[in-house]
Amino acid sequence: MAFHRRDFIKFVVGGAVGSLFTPIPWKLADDISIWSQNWPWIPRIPKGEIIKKSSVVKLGNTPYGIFVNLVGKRPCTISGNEKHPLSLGGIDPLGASSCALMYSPSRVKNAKLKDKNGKFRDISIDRAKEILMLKLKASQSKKDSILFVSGDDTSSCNEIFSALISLLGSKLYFYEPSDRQKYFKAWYDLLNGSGETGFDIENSDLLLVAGCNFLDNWGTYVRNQKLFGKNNVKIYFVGPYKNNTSVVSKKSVLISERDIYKFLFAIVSYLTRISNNLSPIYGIEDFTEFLAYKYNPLLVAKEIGCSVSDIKEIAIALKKAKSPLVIAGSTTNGSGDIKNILAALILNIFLDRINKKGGIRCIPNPPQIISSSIPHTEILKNDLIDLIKSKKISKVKTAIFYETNPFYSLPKEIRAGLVNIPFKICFSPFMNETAKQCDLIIPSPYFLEKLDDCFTPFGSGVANYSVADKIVDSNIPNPADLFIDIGKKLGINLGISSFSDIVKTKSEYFGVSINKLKQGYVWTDNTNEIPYGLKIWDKTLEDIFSSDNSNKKNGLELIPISISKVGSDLVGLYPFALDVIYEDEIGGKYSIAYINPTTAQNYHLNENDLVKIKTESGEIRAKIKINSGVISGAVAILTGFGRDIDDVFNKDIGENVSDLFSLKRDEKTGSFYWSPTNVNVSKI
Amino acid sequence: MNKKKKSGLTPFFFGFLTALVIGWWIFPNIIFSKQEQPFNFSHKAHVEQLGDCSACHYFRDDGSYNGVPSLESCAACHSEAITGAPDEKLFVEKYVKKNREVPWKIYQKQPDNVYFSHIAHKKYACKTCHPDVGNSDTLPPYFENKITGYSKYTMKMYQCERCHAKNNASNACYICHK
Repeated sequence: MAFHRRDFIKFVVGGAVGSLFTPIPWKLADDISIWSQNWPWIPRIPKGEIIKKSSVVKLGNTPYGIFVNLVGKRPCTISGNEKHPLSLGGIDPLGASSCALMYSPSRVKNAKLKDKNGKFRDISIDRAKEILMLKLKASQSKKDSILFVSGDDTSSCNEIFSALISLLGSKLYFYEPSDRQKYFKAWYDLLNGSGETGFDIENSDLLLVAGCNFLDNWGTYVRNQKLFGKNNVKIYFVGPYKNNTSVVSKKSVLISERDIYKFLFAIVSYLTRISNNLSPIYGIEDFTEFLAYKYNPLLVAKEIGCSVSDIKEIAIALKKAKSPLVIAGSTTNGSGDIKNILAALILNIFLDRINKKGGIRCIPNPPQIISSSIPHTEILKNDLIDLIKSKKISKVKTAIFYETNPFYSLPKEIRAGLVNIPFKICFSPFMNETAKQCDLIIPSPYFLEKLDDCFTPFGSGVANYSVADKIVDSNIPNPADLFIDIGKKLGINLGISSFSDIVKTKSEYFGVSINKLKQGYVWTDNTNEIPYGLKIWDKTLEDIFSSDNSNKKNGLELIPISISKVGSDLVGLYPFALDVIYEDEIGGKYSIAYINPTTAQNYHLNENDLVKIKTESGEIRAKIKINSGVISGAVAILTGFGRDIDDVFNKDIGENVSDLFSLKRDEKTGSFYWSPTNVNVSKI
Repeated sequence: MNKKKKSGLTPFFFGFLTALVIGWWIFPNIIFSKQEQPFNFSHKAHVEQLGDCSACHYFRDDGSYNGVPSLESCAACHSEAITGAPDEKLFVEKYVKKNREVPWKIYQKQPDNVYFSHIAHKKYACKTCHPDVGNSDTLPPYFENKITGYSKYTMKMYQCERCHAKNNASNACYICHK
């Protein structure tokens, strides 16, 4: 019998019907659905023992303690450490993202060397170490030819780095310009204080916050938020725009950042009139005389555009409070005039708040383990901008940047001074703006991948010391260990064998076992230094406050708004930012510029208008939003955008406000500042 | 003219039967591939030394189940080869000395969308769901589904549901799918 076409069709149909009586179609459907759950790009749930380890996160602008929750050996989530004095259980959005950020596409995983065409190629760590060693060796014969900028002013690694470059003949070791430095200069140099300023917010019942965003980006802001919530401390705010601090304040007075010190002195002036007994501190009589002449509250109120009743109300509140504290700072870290900080400290002295409960504490300086290192206080005195503006910068042949990003956050004038340095080396966990400007990039381990320590960050209440152990295995060497190794090869003995050696020595100095510190214990000490030579006033201060920098030029006053939720200079925007940054804070590729209705009317601007904002340093484009929380004659712009970081969270979002900053120098104090800057605004 | 002989339904039944044979005999054998474990492990020898299952398979302090012991647990005794057995030598050379976790093939691995809590089932003996390997010197053969990548012995949902129903435990979705 021949097999015909119809037979074949019958056979196939029979087979199809028969397969319905077998497991084949049902099993295949089930198996294909399971197969589709296991595609290689679908993330897997980590399985294993859940372990909690203590760490210190340093991704943002302030370090603080956290717990890292690991499943198996993989860090999965972060939880707060209630016993840590720098966080009190709090976490900021950047910290919450820190497990995810370890896998950021912008992580630097390999050392990179820039070729003649400006392109990076991967090289081995050993080769990078060799190049670094050659550069350091070459500097031995030339004094001050190495410049080192450290982005972490709390770690013991500064001792190792500064010791090596100091023994190689260079004292050019700097921290990135910050309010901490301004506080130190004001307190130590100008007021003859001792130690570093600590802020006993825990015991304060009233805070006068001048200029800075105390609850969002000043000092130990995670701790600040927790303390505000816990103690319900009363806050009075003075500044150029309504921020997260002012909205919870008992009273907000909106004035220009350049006038804050006048407001503070007007308060002192008023208090001298209503106080019977003045603190017998050096210079008090000259001070009160000066205030009566130059800072009469009525005249100040008229000049700076606030009401006398605001000055009186805050002055009376300060007088009545049991433990008031005055905190001043820049709208964005390091940018403001030192005069505001100086005036705040003077007000604290006037109110007799030094080394008092809830006041300013004189925190002792960190111990120096390596004798050849540059002491922390000396580094604080070193002014990077001063160097860049001086002729000494031309002698610098090699610059090393450690976990810092001056090419993003500092004014263009400073960046221009740094970019001309012949060879630049960057230690960074992320491929950020500074890394891209450098000739050699050496990866720095992520904070979970290395041992690190932290001594008394700026804004702390008492001296404190924490240690974060290595939690995740990584083959990226600790830069501090690299330096020790290079030192040995160059015949320089720093006196320690490794970074863990210095951490162990420090823990012994504080009388705590290193293992206890690694498990999350924090050493604290309430001891204060006694500022025997403290003064409230002298001729130098009179000179400083007799001059007036508030030369109001044409244009609008730029207020850079710095808040923690836009990430940090080092990291940029991060995964969880999607949840916390509002739609009206991002203008696509434009920045958002906030102006109040009066300014909008004067400049014929409307909501969503596109404008060009220009200074002599640069220009950016922005979309206008009307916001009555900004002073008249000013434009406020969020910092933290306009990043040159190659990941989806940062690319093509906003523009960099730092491009607008104009660097200025206070001739009397010698201190540099760039906020406020005057800008021209025109419609596109 | 010769009339073509009609074959009738014969091809249909032939196709039907062929499908049945393929579906019930051939398909189950080709869908799974037999794979070897990294090396042989004698449960019997270890039970004689250590006691019962919980010496290596235990609940942690937080209530989670450790499952297959980690390299660290095994290396606590086997940091060097102590018995001279070839499989033990292989374990020490290839895994202990190189600090590599052993890539055991798991007979009862569940997908990520299934939440199984051993501690919720602790009143049942291990061999209720797992083969009684405690008396065996060899590991059971491992068959892997070529499409899904799961073991042939991975419990399916209907098996869990049946036992839940028998024991008056809830079969609501959220019990197993969080």
